[in-house]
Amino acid sequence: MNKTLFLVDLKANWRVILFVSLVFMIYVLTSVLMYDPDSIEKLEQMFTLFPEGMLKALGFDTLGTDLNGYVAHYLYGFIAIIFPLIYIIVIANKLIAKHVDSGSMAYLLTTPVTRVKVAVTQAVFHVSGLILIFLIDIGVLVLLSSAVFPGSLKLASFLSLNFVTIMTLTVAGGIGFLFSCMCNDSRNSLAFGAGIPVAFFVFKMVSEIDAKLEGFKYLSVFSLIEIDKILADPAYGLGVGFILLGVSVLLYGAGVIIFNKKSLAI
Amino acid sequence: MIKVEGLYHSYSHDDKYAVRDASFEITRGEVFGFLGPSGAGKSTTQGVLTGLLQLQKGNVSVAGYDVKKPVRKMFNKIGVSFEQSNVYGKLTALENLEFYRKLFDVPTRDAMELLEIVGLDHVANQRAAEFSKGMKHRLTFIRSMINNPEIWFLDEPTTGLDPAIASEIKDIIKREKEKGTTVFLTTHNMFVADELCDRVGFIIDGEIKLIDSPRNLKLQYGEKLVEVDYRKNGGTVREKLSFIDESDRRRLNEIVNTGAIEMMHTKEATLEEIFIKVTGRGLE
Repeated sequence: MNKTLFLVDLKANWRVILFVSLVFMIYVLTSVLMYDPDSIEKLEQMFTLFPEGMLKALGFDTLGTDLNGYVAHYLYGFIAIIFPLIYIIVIANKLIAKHVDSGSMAYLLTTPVTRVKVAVTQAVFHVSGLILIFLIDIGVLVLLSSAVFPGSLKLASFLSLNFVTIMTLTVAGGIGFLFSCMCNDSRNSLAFGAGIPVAFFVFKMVSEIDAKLEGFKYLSVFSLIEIDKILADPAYGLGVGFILLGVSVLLYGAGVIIFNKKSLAI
Repeated sequence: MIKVEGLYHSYSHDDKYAVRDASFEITRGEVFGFLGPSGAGKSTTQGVLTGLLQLQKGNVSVAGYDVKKPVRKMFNKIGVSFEQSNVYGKLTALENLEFYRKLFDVPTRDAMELLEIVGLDHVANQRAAEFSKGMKHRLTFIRSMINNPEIWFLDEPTTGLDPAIASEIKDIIKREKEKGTTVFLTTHNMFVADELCDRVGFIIDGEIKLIDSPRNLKLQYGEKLVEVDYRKNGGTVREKLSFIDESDRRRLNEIVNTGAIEMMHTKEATLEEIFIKVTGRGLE
């Protein structure tokens, strides 16, 4: 990894990380502050007024019976995927394809920094930004919930859920990064690198609208965020997370190898 | 410093070659101009020499390193400035140079000193995104000098610049040449090539047609004529005289002795005229 390049990446992209973190945080704060163990039932009754399919697609079909369930269903069915996904897509394209497209990669590669080092640095930055977003927002959530509802948040299951969520996003990020490395122009990189992760997201939502459309869940990596199952068995979440970690390493690794071998458009 | 033997390159990996059987050698301290129209194969050749394009066929060594097995140390010895200037807009001019400085493993030049060379020292702390096209080009240009390169690859260094900046860039190239820097200059501007290059190579459709010094080419292909404008009977008379023909030489002496000459030019061919003669095509 090249520290100098990493710091330049940070300088160029910190605003995106901050923006996504802050928007995500609004929902984190809302979810904790709105939690009232006595009114969950009333809230669920109110939700019955909305179309069932829409609530399922947004992850609000059930709010759970405790803080973990409430926060998990409020955030991890929709919010915790969509905002980090924006970061993943935008930055994957910027880190390699946009540099190649604009010509700045050619300048970078005529320095003694190896192609592998450049690509690994960009991959590390990509994943680091995602982890940073979650660290900030999970940190706030944990601190806030322990201040407002001491002892209510079960950390093991909550962290397991976050691990799986981050890893699904890393797989989506790996796809974006792979296409960023493969394509010599931003347009194609975005078409595939953003198109596939967005399709994953749409398939997950569609699969939850109606039982007849459930089959779509097999087309989306985000369907692996099985909230109730992970909260009930954190070890299951860890297992899924590690498999996704392996897939992510393969995707990012393939991106690095392809970038190392290809001839740059000049 | 640069040795190329039988270089071929095909973007489609078939027999449609962008560069075909190119061979040349450039010695230390030489300014070698690669002249050709757009799409002739100039940038492809430079791309292979700088490691951006993989060497498919042929032998290429740059600064003593075999490009087939690229060693990153080679990049400490070369500097590259492409036609398309490129800077990090969110960094200041100084930060742009500092960033590149840190990527090299050799002693580098002082960033402020480089900014002074091209008159950007007063905007050193201004974000590069706010720069004009000419300022960005100058910043990119000096960035390629940051590692004191032994071999300097310059792709169209003056294209699209106003004459004052172009002249400034040419002066810097001349000064670096005097210090012993080898320059590989790709351009379609024959005036730049004529002014700066010790030798030029004409490339068209991927093939090098000719390599020689601008002087030799002019002598070989130019007309042996002199054009004289002189005052006579209150007006100006123009005559074209051969300096091979004995009677024309005598006539030229007579005109010189009258002391009435207003202008006199030798009629050597320009590089562009020679290029057209050799390749049958123009440079644009």
